[in-house]
Amino acid sequence: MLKFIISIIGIFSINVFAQAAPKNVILLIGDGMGEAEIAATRNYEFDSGPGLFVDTIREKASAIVISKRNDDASLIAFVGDSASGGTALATGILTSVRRISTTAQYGEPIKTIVEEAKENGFKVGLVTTAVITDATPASFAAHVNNRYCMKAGDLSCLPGEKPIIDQMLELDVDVLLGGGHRLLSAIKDTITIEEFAISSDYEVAKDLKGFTRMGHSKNLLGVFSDYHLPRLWQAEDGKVAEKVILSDDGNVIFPKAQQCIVNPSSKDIPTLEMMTKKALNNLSTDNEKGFFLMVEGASIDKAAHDSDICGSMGAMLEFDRTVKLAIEYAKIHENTVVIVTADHGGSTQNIHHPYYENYKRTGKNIPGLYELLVTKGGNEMAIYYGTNNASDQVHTGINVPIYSFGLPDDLVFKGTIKQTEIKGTMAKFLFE
Amino acid sequence: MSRLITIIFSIFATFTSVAVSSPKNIILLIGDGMGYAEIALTRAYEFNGDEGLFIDTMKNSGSVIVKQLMIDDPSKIEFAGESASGGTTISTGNRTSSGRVAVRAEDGAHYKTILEEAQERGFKTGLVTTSIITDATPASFAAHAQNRYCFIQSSGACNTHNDTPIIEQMLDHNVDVMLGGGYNLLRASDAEGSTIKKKAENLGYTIVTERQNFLDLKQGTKTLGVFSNGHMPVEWVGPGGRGADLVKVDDNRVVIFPEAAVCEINPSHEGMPRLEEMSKFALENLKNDGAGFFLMIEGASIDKQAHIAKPCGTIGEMLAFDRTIRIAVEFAKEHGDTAVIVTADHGQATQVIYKPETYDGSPIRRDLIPGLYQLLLTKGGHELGAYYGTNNINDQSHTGVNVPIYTYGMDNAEDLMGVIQQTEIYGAMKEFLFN
Repeated sequence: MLKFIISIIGIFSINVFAQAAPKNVILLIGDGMGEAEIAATRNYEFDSGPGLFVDTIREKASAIVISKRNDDASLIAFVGDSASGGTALATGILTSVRRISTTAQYGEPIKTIVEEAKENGFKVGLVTTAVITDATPASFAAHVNNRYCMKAGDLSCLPGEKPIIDQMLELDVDVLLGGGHRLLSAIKDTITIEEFAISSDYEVAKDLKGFTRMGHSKNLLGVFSDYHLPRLWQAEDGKVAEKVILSDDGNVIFPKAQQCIVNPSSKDIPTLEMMTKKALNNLSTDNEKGFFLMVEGASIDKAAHDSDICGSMGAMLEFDRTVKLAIEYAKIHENTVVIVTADHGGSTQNIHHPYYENYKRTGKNIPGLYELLVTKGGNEMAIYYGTNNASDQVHTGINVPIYSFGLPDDLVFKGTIKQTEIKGTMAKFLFE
Repeated sequence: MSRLITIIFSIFATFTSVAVSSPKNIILLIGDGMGYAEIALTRAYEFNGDEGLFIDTMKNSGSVIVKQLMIDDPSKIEFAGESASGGTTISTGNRTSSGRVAVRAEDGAHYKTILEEAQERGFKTGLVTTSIITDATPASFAAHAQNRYCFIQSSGACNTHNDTPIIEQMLDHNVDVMLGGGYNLLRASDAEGSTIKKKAENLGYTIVTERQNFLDLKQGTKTLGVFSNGHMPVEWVGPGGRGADLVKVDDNRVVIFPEAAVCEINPSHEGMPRLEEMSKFALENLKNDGAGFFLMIEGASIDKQAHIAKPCGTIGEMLAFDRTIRIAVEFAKEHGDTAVIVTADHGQATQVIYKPETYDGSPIRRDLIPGLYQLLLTKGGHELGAYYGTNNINDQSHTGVNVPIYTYGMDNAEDLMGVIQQTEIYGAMKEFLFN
């Protein structure tokens, strides 16, 4: 019955304000946030009980993630990366890995939702815990053939190709917050990026102090570390998942169960929530049209690549708190839609506890990288990364979750959708 | 607005159906080990990552938190599940430890199952699977055992806890239709020194072991169909029966990839009734004008093939399961008052990884692929990498990940949307069937 009353109130409130209020979309991308990465975090922090905010969002579906091959754009690759996934979300078009809003094989630019929003008079913001020119934010505001063409002089830039940071500033993205001191000293034409930004009416901040001073009268360019922002958590022994050690009889000696602790180098850096609040405040001021804000929890994926489960879970929790903040904002601001999804799946797996089946485990049982953790509630959990024994776990081709809040009923994502459908829904909501 | 109408409508619908008390049916379909990865692998192979799977058209969906209790200390949680504990959670709404069939982890006390409750209220019941019919998933609905391998009198697993063998419990339970594998069960002795076959006949079961006899069978008979020795053969195999394997390397330890494999029909599946044939039979047989029915259908070998790193096996079984879901939903559309619930008991190890190229284009070396790999060629001619990395001993580990749940025809569909605990499925089924 309560649900019934809430639905009625919801319908009335939309009708009352439909004419007046600006329209806003907050798109939150958990980089590499598959069901497995969410499950590990839920297990560690809440012993798999209630606690994650994303678990309370009722409108949930799953999104098919694929990409194209660059050697032959008629062929499909069944795994994506942040560049192809970001492009799919920003443009609704499939491309190949490493490409930033350009077509597979041919490299033609594809218009993004951020560009459309700017054309329609909306404000736009990009917030991330990665370097601000990283693939996910870049896909919304730049077009390059290789995601690592971030600033002038980068080897990945083709001759004559404009680097990502130059394109982002020229597009006049209203809010850019994340990492990347090194971008500021890069040269654009004859001046530095920092000088160009200031001359283009950006307020530039490089540390927490500067961040705190940032207001809402100018565009914001905030970069708070040299490259990606430091991860919030690390394992207490400072290590990541490793090959298990074998005893003389060939059986596995399981490592001591670890807890996650705060990474000291993450102090004095604005959190994703702080940056998101700042962005919302800036974008909503004196704005009658509305805004498009993309917020990325980048280190869920970056840590998983390094088989750093604590790094991944700390980032997931920070992302989850930011989702909560966004939905609370949407609850008190009419016509604000929140969409939460991932760009691609990761490699993280929760496997059975070492007791399982009671057989002795030899090295062959655990060929990949392993970490035993003890959860907040005192349960042991085994985390495993098996895709790679070099230094870099690979993405996996699996559906990723998609949650929404505030979409009109006929636009709500249900069941199984394609990742390429999300952009059209956002555009329909914002521009029609 | 449409939601408002739906809510009002469903309130009326509930009242109306109670008033006239038409039959209510549940078709519960369990894809064993059917995680998002196994579905994605199948979608990629058969439909090139595009539309085609029936399951992808089901709009009411959620994701289910799976876990189990530790054997030695049930106050502790284990964050990966298994078929017995997962079956028990779905059939009774309780978590238990690995290997336990509808019994409590602490002391082995029996949990009443949804199938038992349905029977008490006059519902007909059925269990259909592609595994041996006494396997953990079907057993969790119609038996109670401390160890899932207590199939028959001579199973060693029965001795430790003095359990009645699962097959005898299932027959005593009078489940109206039981179809799957396990004709070897028929020869086993029962508690009275007779055989399971005689026991089943005495209880009024018609026994079938051949597909043709089965298809000719008269509806309405109490049926025990067992069509293979042990688990039923799977529909598909890899070329020459090969699955994923350790990659081969050249002298520089650079990986040599074999030609992309195409899945083949498994010759030993010939003569077997398909999952959809068994399910159709069960639906027609159980359909009644009284209370209704509870039918559990399991796609068992999605999991069994993943354990042995055989992607073609998993894909063939997933497609059979998907076709069966369509039949169930069509039945529900035609007959009304029927809830179709599709879910999995636990996650598996399957991962879809890149077509063999490194991210930066450098050669792939041995360390880059430590697990078992098979490159497949999809129906549309695209290369697809199937990977199993949890171990190299031919028995992949389950993984603790949420599994999907889809429903059709439930007036309380909201109960199973968003993120839910696996224990909530039982309550939602009861709510639909009995209230």
